[in-house]
Amino acid sequence: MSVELRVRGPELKEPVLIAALPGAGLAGLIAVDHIVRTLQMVEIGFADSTMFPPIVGIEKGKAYHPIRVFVNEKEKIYAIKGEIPIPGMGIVHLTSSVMDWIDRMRPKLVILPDGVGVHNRLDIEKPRVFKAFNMENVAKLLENVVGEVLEHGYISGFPAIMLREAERRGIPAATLIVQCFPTYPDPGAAVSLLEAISQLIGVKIEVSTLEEKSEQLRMKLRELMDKTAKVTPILPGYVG
Amino acid sequence: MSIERIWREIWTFISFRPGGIEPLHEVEVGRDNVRITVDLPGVRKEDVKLEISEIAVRLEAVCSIAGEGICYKKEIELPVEVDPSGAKARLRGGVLEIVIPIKGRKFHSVKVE
Repeated sequence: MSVELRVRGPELKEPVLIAALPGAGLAGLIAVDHIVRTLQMVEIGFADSTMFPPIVGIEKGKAYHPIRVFVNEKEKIYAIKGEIPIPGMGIVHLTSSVMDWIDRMRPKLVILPDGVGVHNRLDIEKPRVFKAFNMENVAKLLENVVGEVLEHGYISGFPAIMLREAERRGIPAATLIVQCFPTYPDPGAAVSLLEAISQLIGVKIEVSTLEEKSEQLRMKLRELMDKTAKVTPILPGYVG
Repeated sequence: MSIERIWREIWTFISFRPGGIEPLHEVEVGRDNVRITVDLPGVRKEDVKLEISEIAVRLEAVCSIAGEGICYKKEIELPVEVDPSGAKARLRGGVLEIVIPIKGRKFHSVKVE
C-alpha cells in the first residue's frame, strides 16, 4: 500500500512548500487554505491511496480530491492542503510521496503549520506561535519570525513525520505551532500562523477576509473538526 | 473497534438534527468541578438559554451568520452528579464555558482537638 501523488504542474527550482492536514483546531489547514485563496494558487495535483477513506469533496457539484497540490509560480510556492484526517500509516506513506516529489526540486524550505490545543484558549487574546526546525540555517531564517522557539516538548502527527523525513533527506524544514482550541475550529489561531508564515516567506498575506468570515468558517468546519478529533487523537502537546 | 466501523460511525455523523444544530462540545471532569465548553459561533450571551440539573446541562442559542438564522440545541448528560446552584458560565468569542461543582466535593475544615 502506498500513496500516489500525481502532479501535472511545473517543477520549480528551490521552491517553498507549505503543507497541512487537519489537526488541533484545524489551525494549520485554515492557514494553508487562506494562503491558497489569497495568493490565487492554481491546483496542479492530488494525492490518493487505498488507505484513504472513500471520500471526495464537492464544490458547486464538481468532485475533487480531498488532498490537493497547488502552486503560485511567481512566488515559487507550492501548497498541499489535506481536507480529510488520515490515520497513522497513511500519513507515513503520504510523507514519503510528498518528499520524493519535492526533493527533486531541492526546496529552499518546507513549512508545516499546525496547532497545539491549550486548555485556557478562552483567555488568550492573541495565540502564541512556537517554532521548531531541523537545521541550523532554518533557525537563522526563523530568527525574524514572530513566535518562540520550542525549547522542549514533542510534536506529533503529520508535521513530526515530515520534519523527520526532511531531516533524513537534508531538506530544510520548519514547523510553526500555534496555541488553539483542541477540538473547535480556530480561525483566530490561523491568523497568528499566517503572520508568522508571511514573515518567513517574505510575502504579504492579507488576513482581514479571514477575520471577517471567521464565524462562517467555524460553522462550515464543524463536521471536519469532529471527524478529525475522532480519527487523530489530538494530544494537548507539551510546549515550553 | 475496526477501522471500517470507526469510519462508518464518523461519516454517518449528522449535524443538522431535527430542532436545531448540535454544537461541538467537551466535558472535562476535574477534582472538584466539571468543566463544559460548547462551540457556539456567532452567539451573544443574551441569546443563550442555559439550564442545569444535577445530571445534565441543556442549552439553546440563536444567532445569525451571514444573514442565515441559526438555532443551536444541545443536552449534555454529565458523567458525575453536580451541584447546579454553584454553576458559573461565561461566553467568550462564541465559546461557552460552564463550570459546575461536583456534588459532595465541598469540603469544610474541622478543628482537631
